Amino acid sequence: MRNTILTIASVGLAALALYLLSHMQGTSGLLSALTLIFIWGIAAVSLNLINGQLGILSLGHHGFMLIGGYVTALLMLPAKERRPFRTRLLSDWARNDLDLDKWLRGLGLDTIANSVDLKFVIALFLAGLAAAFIGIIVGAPSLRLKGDYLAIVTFGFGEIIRLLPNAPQVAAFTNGPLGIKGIPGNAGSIWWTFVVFLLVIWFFSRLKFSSYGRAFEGIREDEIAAEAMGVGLAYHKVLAFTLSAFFAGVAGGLYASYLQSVDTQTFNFFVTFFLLVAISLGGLGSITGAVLGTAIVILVRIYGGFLEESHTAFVGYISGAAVMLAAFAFSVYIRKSRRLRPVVEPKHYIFGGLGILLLLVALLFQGQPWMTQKVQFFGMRRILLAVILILIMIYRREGLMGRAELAWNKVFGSREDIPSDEQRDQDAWLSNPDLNPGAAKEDDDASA
Amino acid sequence: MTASKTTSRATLITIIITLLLVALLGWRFYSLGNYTLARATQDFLNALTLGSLYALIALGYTMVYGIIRLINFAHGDIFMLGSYLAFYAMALTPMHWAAALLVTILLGGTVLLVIRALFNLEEPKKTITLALLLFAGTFFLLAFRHMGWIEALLLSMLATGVAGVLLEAVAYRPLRGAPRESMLITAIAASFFLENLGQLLFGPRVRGFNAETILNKPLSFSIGHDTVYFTGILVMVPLITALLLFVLNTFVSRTKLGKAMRATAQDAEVAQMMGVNVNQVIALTFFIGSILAAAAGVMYSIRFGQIHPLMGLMPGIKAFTAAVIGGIGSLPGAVLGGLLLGMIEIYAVSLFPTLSAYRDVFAFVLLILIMLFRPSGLVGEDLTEKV
Amino acid sequence: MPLLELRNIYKAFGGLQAISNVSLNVNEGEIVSIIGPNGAGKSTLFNLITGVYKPDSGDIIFEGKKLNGLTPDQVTKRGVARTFQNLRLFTHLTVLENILIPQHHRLKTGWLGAVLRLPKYLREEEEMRKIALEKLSFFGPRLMSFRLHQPVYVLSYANRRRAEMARAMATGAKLLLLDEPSAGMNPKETKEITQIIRRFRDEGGYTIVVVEHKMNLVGDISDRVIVLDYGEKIAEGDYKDVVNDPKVIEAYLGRKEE
Repeated sequence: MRNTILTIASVGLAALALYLLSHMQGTSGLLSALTLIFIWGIAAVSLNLINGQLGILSLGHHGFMLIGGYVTALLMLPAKERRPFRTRLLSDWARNDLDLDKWLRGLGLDTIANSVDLKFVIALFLAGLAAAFIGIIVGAPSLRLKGDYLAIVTFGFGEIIRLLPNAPQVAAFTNGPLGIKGIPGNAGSIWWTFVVFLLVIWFFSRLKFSSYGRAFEGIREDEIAAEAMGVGLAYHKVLAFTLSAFFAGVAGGLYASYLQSVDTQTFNFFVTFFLLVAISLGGLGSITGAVLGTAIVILVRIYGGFLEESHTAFVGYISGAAVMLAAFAFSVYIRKSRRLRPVVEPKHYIFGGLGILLLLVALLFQGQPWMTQKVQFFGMRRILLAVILILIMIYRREGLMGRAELAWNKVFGSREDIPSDEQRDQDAWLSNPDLNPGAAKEDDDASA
Repeated sequence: MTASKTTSRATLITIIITLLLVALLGWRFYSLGNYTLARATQDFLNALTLGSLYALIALGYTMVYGIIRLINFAHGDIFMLGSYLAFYAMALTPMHWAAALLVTILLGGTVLLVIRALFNLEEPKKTITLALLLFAGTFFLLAFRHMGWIEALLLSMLATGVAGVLLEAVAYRPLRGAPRESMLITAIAASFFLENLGQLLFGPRVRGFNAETILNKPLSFSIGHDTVYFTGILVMVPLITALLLFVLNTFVSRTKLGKAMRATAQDAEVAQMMGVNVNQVIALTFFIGSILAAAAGVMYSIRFGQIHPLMGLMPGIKAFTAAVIGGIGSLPGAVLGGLLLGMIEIYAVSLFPTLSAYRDVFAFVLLILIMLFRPSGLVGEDLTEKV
Repeated sequence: MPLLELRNIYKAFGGLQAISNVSLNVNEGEIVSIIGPNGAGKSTLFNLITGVYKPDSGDIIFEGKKLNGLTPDQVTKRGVARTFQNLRLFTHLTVLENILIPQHHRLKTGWLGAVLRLPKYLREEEEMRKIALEKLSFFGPRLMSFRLHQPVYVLSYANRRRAEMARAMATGAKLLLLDEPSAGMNPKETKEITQIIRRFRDEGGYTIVVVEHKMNLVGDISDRVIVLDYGEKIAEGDYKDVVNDPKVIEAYLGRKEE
């Protein structure tokens, strides 16, 4: 009861904060960051269901998001945006009839058709269904594979889904590489993403702490034991995969509507990689962790823009040297704190040596023209994300949260797994024969 | 009993599929009409070249997978690195002597250290000879003249091999014994790292790779009434590939280190107990795989005339598909799979021009089909996780 | 009619005949022990019954229905549950969760109902918890109170064995297959396990098949003993008769050189 009240109160506070933010000046950057955190949070939490809770590495999430994005785009596209497609690749049917507006009016539901928001909800739901449908098609045959084979197969399916919209035979629906532009963006406003995000968090935490969630975690822990305990592997894997695909489709729809356009480059493999960084950073299997990881990664992406500005090559050399030396110091620190010997491994000298070398080059050739010319630091943020992921895998595989969730009970420090003094005494009495000679004797009597 | 039943059914299905394919091809040859012997020859040359390149890259995938059960996602980017190193070797030479000296010391030194560690060169005499050879050779190549493609190929192979060893040491070795999923994630991250580092260091734009050699001169010969047009590289690639395969085969089957490699692939733990230095063998595997990838990269760039930082993606995936087709973990399988995939790709596009838009999709479809229905590939054993 | 009936089971791995022509019956309410030297095919027999392996030929009949060709989870749903020789608990989950997962297959509410926490689901969940506590209480207070919420990896080895037995019972099975329930336990704990297995039958109403190496445990609990050697059944009967059977002695000790 206390927990429910607290949850409702904090959601209310968050909504109030959002309201205030959206009415203040100069917060548009922060608002779009929040929108992105919500959208990608949905995708990350849904990927976390497979990769974290079920313990299966799936690399095809971008494909499901793409399906959701395209379906939402086609269903939501206003009539005047459809007209220009005549000269392009889109078929007549897709241009004229694949229109939620028209369907709703055909059913006599004009009130819904007149509200962009309601239409958007329906479109998102259909986008999710389409992605879930493809999820079943992909999942049913491939989920009997294991480990990296499964990862590669899902990756292959994701890439096929991504490459298909460009093919001429499918371009009739997707407008080929040109993509679809002019999706109404007001439907993707922060309020919608906020509400959908809350719903998704609610859904997944309810699922995690239900019998089904336990079954998923059982499969992660030990497939053979789970099967021997009556948990049907095929059903549960496909179920999780489908649910995950559904919400990936929803996230894709939200993202397409946020960008107001969609094409095949919107959802490339980097999307899945990005989500993988987010959930690994947060902790595989933890919903809180997935959201936390997404927030960190999004903030790097939004506020890391300064990393990719153009600087002189000199700055590049100096910062390269700084990174190398920091890496050297970091690895030495880690080895020291873990009491590993030798403290400096030979390969760490590579970092140190390279750092010093870069520093020397920078200082020696300071005035040279090739040293002062401007260079754009293209791709620094992605490099940073890649390095973060490698470091997590090496040094902290459980991520920030492990598998734990943020829960009010923990906030208030009441934990059921720590015995009270009374329980501790009883336990000691049970397990130590010196304390209860009577019990031990009883056992002997019984067996004698 | 059940086992034999399924095998016979699988054989039957294979036969049916083969017959259908043959029928389809026959019909296609017949209906295309203008498909002459000359065109078939030209396609064959193209397919052989592409297949050899896939085979070279696929060997790296298959060797690494065979030994540490890791799908080295970054292998395609090692291939890219090889191309760029050769590109710069040809574009920047002859260098100023001071720069050449600096590069020689750095490159030669690293290569020397790595080779010493990989091949157990304990004797000082051998080390000194190797060092002299390395330093003098590199300096000579860099400082005096414009580098030709063969020198660039050799230099790039060496340097890329070392890069592969460094990649393994920095990113994969700390994860030895970690869950395989974690290793795969690391490999994906390493791939992204290399791709974006390539964009940062080499610039994101496409560059022409003009190895001005006889290899790019148009050549022709005639069959019947038609003429076959080709370039020297189309002949050179299969030849160089064959040479490299011969060297690799000799190394793996004849030398002590090659035997250690095969033993580690069988069972790393037991090999370690029998005195094999598993870390050294793994590093060596990465070294050889990267060398082959670099060779493939340079030849690929000469063949297609351009390079860019993401060039390793599709060839990487296709080569991986080739490795899976042949049976991942098996060396002959990788070569077979590579050649087969090259054939399939070239002939499919040549015979069904409408399908050319699906060229990349096709590789993925093939990959998935093989994974789902015959994960052991054509000649390999099933290496999926056993329970 | 016997509860479990095996008729002429054969199973080969490659060229190795792991089980050949084994037939046996287990009647309701019995405790049957299967013994035999290492590699005799005892664990293979368990894997065949539970659907991990498929027999090459022969029938496995449980309550008059064939089990052949069913997957392990379907076999468990029919009412056969097992423990594993080398503990296969869900290590990172709590004790309670470990005992709840085997009851999942009895859940009638679908996933959407579970997410929405329909009253029906809440009732079922309550029922599952009650059963879990009931099964755990077989082992006294050891796995109760705060231990319920501790992850399995903090438990002692003996407690893990107990938890695994509780987990097998929680599936709602009638027939328990216990694969070396006393492996790795000290004599005192072994005695206790002996008591408990008997209580499973007397109080819980289970029929039990045990694979064991410790002969005193086998002698203590078994109504009937079946001896396997090289995949064949070489003896069956009362414990005292079986251990004096020359064939059994030969299987364990080898033929006397004369």
